[in-house]
Amino acid sequence: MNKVHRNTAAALIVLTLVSTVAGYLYVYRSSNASENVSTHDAVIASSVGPSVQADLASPFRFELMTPQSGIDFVYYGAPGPQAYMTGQNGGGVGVLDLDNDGRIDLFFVNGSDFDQPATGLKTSNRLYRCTADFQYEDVTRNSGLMAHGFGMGCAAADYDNDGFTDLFVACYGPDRLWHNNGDGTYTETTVAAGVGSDQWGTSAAFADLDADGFPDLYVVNYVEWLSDELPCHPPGHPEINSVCSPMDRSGQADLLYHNTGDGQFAEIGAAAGVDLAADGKGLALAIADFDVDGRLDIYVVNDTSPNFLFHNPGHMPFDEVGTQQGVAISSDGRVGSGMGVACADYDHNGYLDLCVTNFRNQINDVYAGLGPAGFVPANASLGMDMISRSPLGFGIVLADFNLDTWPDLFVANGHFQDWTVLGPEHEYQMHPQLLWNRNGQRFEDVSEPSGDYFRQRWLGRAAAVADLDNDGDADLVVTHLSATPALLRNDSSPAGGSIRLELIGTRSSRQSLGSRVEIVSDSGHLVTSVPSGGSFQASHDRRVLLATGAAESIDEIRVWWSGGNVEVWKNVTADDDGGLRLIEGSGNVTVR
Amino acid sequence: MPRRNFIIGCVCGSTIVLALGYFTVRWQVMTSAATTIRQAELHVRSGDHSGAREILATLMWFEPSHHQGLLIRGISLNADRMFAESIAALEQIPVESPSYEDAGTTLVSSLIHDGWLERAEAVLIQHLGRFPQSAQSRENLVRLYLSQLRGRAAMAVLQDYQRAYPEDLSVLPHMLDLEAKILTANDRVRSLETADMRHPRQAAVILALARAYAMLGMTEHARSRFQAALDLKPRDPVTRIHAAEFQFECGDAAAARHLLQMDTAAQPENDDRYLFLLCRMAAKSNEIAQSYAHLQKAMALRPHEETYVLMQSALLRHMGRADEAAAVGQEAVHLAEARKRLMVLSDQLDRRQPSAPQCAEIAELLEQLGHPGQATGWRRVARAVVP
Repeated sequence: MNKVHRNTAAALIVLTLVSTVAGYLYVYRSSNASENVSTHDAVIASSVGPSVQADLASPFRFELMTPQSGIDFVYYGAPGPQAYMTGQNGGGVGVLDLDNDGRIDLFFVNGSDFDQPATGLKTSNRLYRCTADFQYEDVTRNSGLMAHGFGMGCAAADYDNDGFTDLFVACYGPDRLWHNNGDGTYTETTVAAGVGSDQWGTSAAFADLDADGFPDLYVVNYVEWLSDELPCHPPGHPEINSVCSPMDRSGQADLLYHNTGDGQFAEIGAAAGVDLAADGKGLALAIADFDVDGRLDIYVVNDTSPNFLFHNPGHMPFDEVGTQQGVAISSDGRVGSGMGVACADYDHNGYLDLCVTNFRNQINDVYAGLGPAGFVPANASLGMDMISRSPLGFGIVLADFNLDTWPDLFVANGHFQDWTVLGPEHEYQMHPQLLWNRNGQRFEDVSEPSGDYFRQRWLGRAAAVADLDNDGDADLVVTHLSATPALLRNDSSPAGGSIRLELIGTRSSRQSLGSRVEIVSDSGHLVTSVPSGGSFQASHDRRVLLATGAAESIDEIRVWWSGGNVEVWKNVTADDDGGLRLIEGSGNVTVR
Repeated sequence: MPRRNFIIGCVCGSTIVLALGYFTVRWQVMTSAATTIRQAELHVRSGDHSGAREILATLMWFEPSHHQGLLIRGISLNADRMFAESIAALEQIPVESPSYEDAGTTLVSSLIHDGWLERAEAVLIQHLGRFPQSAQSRENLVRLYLSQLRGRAAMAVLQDYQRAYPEDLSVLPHMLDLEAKILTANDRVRSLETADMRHPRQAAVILALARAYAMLGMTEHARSRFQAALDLKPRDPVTRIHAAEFQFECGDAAAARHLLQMDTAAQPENDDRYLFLLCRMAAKSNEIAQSYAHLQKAMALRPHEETYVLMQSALLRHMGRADEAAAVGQEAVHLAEARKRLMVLSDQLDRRQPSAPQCAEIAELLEQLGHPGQATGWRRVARAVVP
C-alpha cells in the first residue's frame, strides 16, 4: 500500500468514525426530543382535548325559499354617499295573519332617501299575503298600507280586540298606525289614535301593561339626528363618508302609549318613568313577565348606553332596575352597543333569559334569568364570547328549531359601515349565525352545515320567527339592507313533536301578548312567553310552538294571562293541524 | 541556486510591497473614515441607500466591525427592505457602542419587518433598559405588544415610564388610548400569520395568534395554535392561563382545570386572570361561595376591573344578597359609563391643544377607573393648559 492509499484509508476511517459519532449523537438527541414531545403531547392532548367543533354535524337544515316565493321586496334607503344615519338600520318585518285564514302573511317596512325620496310601489312598505306554503302575492296596493317614509321597525297586534291584527310602524319622522278592517284592507288611524310622534322610532311592541284588557304600545326611540348634519369619517380617512356613531349624540325618550280602549292612545311615558331621554338610545325591546310576579315588564336595548329594565309594580311609575337586576351593561363590564334582543328560557330553570346582540368587537350577551333575583351573565361559559365577538349582530331569535325543547339562537349579522376599501379586516356583509343549544350548557355554532344561506354573507337586519308553513317547526324571515329578505324554511329533522299554541284572551287583551306559558310534558317543565317585541325592528308570530318531546299530548299547560289570571289546562292535545287554541276562561283558574 | 534566490527575493519583495500597499491604503481609508461616514450619511439622507453602501464598501472591507459603518449600512439596508442583511449588520454593534442607541431602533424595525417579533421584543427591552427615555423604543414596544394583543404588557411599559419620570407628561395620551380603545383581533391576524410563516416557533407570536383566533371565534385555528404554544412553553403560566380560558369557553372545564394545575414556582395566584378564571369555572359549576372567594382574591389585585365588579354583582345576586348586588351593580355601571365617556373624550381630544376642562374630566374619569397616577398627570396637564 503506497502513501496515497494509506492516507485515503486513514481518511475513510476517520470519516466513518465521525459519521458514527455524529449519527449516534443525532439519534440520541432525537430520541430524547421525541420523548419530551411525547410527554408534552400526552399532557397537552389531555389538556386541549378533541376538537369540540371538528366534524360537528348540524341538526338544522334551512332552505332559502325567497326566489320562488313571489317576494321581491328590497329595502330602499341603504347608506349612500352621504351616509345618512337613517339608512343604517334597514327595514323591519312583521309576521301576521292579516285575514285570519290561518296562513302567515308578511309585512316589510321600507325606508327612504333624503336626496331621492321614496315614491311608488317598490319603495313603499309592502304587504305580502300568503296563498300557499311559501307562496305570496303582493297585496300592498289595495291594502291601504302603501306608504313612504323612513320606516324602521313594526309591531303587529290587535290593538282594539276586534280579532284582526293591526300594524304600527316606527319611523324616523312620524310613526304610523293602521287599523285592520277585517276584509284584507287597512285604514290609517295614526292621528285619531294619537301615536304619530315625529321622533326617531326604531322598534315597538304592544302589550297590556296595566292589565286593563287593551294592549298598550311601547315605542323605542333612538337619537337626535338631522339629515343636514355632516357625515362622519373613519379615523384618518376624511375622504370616506361614514354613518355617525350614536355615542356622542343625545338620546330620545321612549314613548309609552296607554290604550284607552276607544281606539285612542294617551302618551304616558313621563308618568310611567320610561322617558329617560339622554340615557336611552334604543333599538329593540322585549316585553314579558321576567320576575314572575304576574305583571309584564319591559326590557329596552340601547345603543352605546346602558339597557333599561322597567319593572312593572302594578302601578305608575315603573321602576328602572336594569342595573339592579344585572342587565344594564355587557358582561365584559362595558356599556354595550345593543342592537337586538331575544327572550326565552334557554336553560330550563323556569325563568326567562335575555340574549342581546351588540356591536362588532363586542360580545353578544346572554343574561341568565333567576326570576325575581334578576339576571347573571352567562356568555363566556356558554361559548358565546368567542362566537359573537367578531360579527355585528342585529336581529336575534331564540327558538327551538329542532324541537329538542332547548331554544336555539339565530343571529342576523352585518355591518352598517362599508369600510372594505380600508382593508379586508373591515367586513361589511357577514355570515348569519345559527347556534345550537346543547342542553342549556353551551351554544355551538353550526351555521355552515345548516344551509346555503348560512354560507353566504349578508347585511342582516331584522329577524322574525314564525311557523310560516304551519308544519310545526319554526321558520325564519330575515331582512337585509340591500337584498331581498330571506324566507328560511326549517327542514331540520325534529327531535320531537310540537303543538302550535294560540291564546285568545277574553278578559285579557285578545292576543294576550307577553303572557307567560308553562308546560309540563314528557320533556319536563318548560317556560316560554307569547312574543311581544323581540329581535330587532321585528314582530314575531304570536303563536307559540311548544315542544312536546315524544308525547302526543301535554300533561299540563299553565298560562299567566296578561290580564292577571293564571289558568291551567290538563292533558292537552293539538288539533289535527297541530294547532291549539286556548280561550281564556275555558281552563281552571287557579291563582289571581 | 542564484535563480532560486532570485525567485525568493521576488516573492519576498512582492509580499513586502503588497503589505506596504495594504497598510498604506488601510491607513488612508481609516484616516478618512469620518469623511466616508459623513458622505454615506448624506447619501442616506438623500435617499440613495445603495450609494451609501457603495461608499462604505471599502471601509467595511478593511474594518468589518466599524460601528458607524455598520449602523449606516443597517439603516440603508432597512430602507431598501433588505431586512435580513440589515439585521446582520446592526446586530454586530455592541451595547457599549455609541452607535447602539440608533442601531437599536433600526434593528427593531428590521426585525419586526422580517417577522422576528420575539427578537424585536428582546432588543426593545434591552434598549429601553439602557435608554429608558427613548420615546421611540417605548412606542415600538407598546405597538409590538398591542400587535400581539398584550394590552396589559403595553400599559405596563407606559406605567413603568410614568413612575420613573412623573414629570414627563408626554406618555399620558398613549395611556389614554390604551384605556379607551378596545383591542381587536381582526386587524392583527395578518401580520402575526406573516411573522409566524417567516419564522415559526416564536412562542409569543403563536400565543397571540391563538388568542386572536379565539377572539374571532375561529376555534379550530385557535385550538391548534394553543397546542403549539403549549408545546413550545408547556410550563409558561400565561400560556396555560390563556389556553385554559379558551378551553373553558369551549365548554371543556376538565381540560381547563388540568391546564391550571401549575408549579407553585409559577405563582399563578398572583395573576388575577388565573383567579378570575377559577371564579368563572366555579360559578359555572354552581359553587357560588367558592367562586366568590376566587373573585375576591382577583379583586384584591385589580379592584377596579369592570368585569370583576360586574361579576361580583352577579355572584351577590346568586347568593341572594340583593341589596349588595344592586350597590355593586351600580358601581359596575358607573365604571362602564366612565370608560365609555373616556372613549368619547379620547376621540375628541386635540392632542396638541387639549382644553383644560377636557383634561380635568379625563383626570376625574381615570380616578374613577382606579388610575390615580394617570389622573394626577392629567390634572397637571389641565393646570398647564393656557385657558
